[in-house]
Amino acid sequence: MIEFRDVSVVYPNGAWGLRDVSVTIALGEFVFLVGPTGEGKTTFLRLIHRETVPTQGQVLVDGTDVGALRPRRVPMLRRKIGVVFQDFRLLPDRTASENIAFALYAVGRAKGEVRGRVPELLACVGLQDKADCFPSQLSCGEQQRVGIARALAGQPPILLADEPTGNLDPDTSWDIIQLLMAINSLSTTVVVATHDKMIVDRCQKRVIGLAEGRIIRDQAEGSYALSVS
Amino acid sequence: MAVAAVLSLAGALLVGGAGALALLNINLWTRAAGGELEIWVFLDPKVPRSRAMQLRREISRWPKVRSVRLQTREQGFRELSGAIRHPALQGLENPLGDALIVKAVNPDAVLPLSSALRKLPERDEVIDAGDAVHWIMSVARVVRLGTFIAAGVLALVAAVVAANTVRLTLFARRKEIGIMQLVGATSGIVAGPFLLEGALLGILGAGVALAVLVPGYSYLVGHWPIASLGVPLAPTDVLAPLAGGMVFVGFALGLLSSGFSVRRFLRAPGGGEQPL
Repeated sequence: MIEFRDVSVVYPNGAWGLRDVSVTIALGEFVFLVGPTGEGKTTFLRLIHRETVPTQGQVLVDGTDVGALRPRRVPMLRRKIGVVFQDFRLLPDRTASENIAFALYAVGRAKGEVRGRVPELLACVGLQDKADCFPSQLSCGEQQRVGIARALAGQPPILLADEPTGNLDPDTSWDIIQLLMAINSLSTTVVVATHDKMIVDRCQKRVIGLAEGRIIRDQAEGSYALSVS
Repeated sequence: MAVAAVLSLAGALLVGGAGALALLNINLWTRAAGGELEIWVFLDPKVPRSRAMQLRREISRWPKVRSVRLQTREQGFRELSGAIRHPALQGLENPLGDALIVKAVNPDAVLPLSSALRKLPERDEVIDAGDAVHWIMSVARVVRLGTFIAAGVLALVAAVVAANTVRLTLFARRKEIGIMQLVGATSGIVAGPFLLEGALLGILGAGVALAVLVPGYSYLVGHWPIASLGVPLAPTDVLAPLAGGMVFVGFALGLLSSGFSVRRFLRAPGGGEQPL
């Protein structure tokens, strides 16, 4: 599903994003990307989403070399990938349902389809009673749920989450991760970049550890380890 | 900012439209002046008819000559008598020679042709509207150049203002654009509303320019002081196609300006709000 082949990323200022990364994430997997800030987690996700292209090597998503994609093909790739952010990235002047609908209209879905899909997605994340609330009227956990619902709007086979619990308390964080695991149980590939030790240790999912842009470990039922051995 | 864009575009289109009307009228006057670009060559009365006819054939083959007509001395005297109707002309011997009426292909050819005809040894006198035509052509050149420069500069300024107006809108909506790009909206869907905004600014600018130009020119046509001297303005019928042209140019200018801004904005690293 997602394959990195000897991928390196060097930014224009000479800083390394990733170095010689080779890894494969299969369809339907749930993977934690762990490591301190600045070690390459976000770069890893940006490569999958084609926000960045590798300086060296290849990134393959569903068999497609995303680095070689022409700009007009990038939107089609992104429709296969949902993204969830630490800061939720909701539009503050739109309600929860309007935020989700916005994503559907942006990819050309018809009004009728959007009207039917939005309540389903809100129900999926447990916010069916909060459809008409603005982000300022929602708790952080609820805002993140809206973010997840929006990411799932196009039924993508891949879901990327960049520090999705970074702004949340432990209980809410656990609720969000459980939601992501429920989504994963429906065969969506989920990749979560995080430095939330509690979550990683509790979930016992595959853990890929990054340090200085390199993969230092890849454990099937791993735990979080802050120190680099 | 949108008002500034509309007014800038209106200014450029107003100058362009007024310049086009001025040039149209100058062209009309040029054609009217100089007797349709005619040069009269009065031959010496001693020049025989055969030589006059030979000259007609030769001159008709000169470059920049559209046609040459021969007016015989008899025809000329008849016209003169009919025009003057003075008893003194009755019984008077015809003093005129044959005349060649040479028509140039364009106003620029009148002066050089006139100079060449003045060198004919058979000529008695050469009359043309050379000075008047030359003056009108000089004015036309100045108006053309002036319009081109003024309209060009104003159009550039207007394009920059329009582009910046759209840029401000893009910036104000950067979050939305970021989300659209994140979820896989195509560039067409993202750019569409902004291109439309630019085109509308251009059309509105044309509307404002026409709101000044149409009544202004109509008033001028109705109160043109020298129309009675045979120098009328082109009728207001010309305003319809001119209006169509101005609306099209405004639309195109607005669309291109916004297209430039949108393209630059979307090509910036991340294009709008950085998703990750």
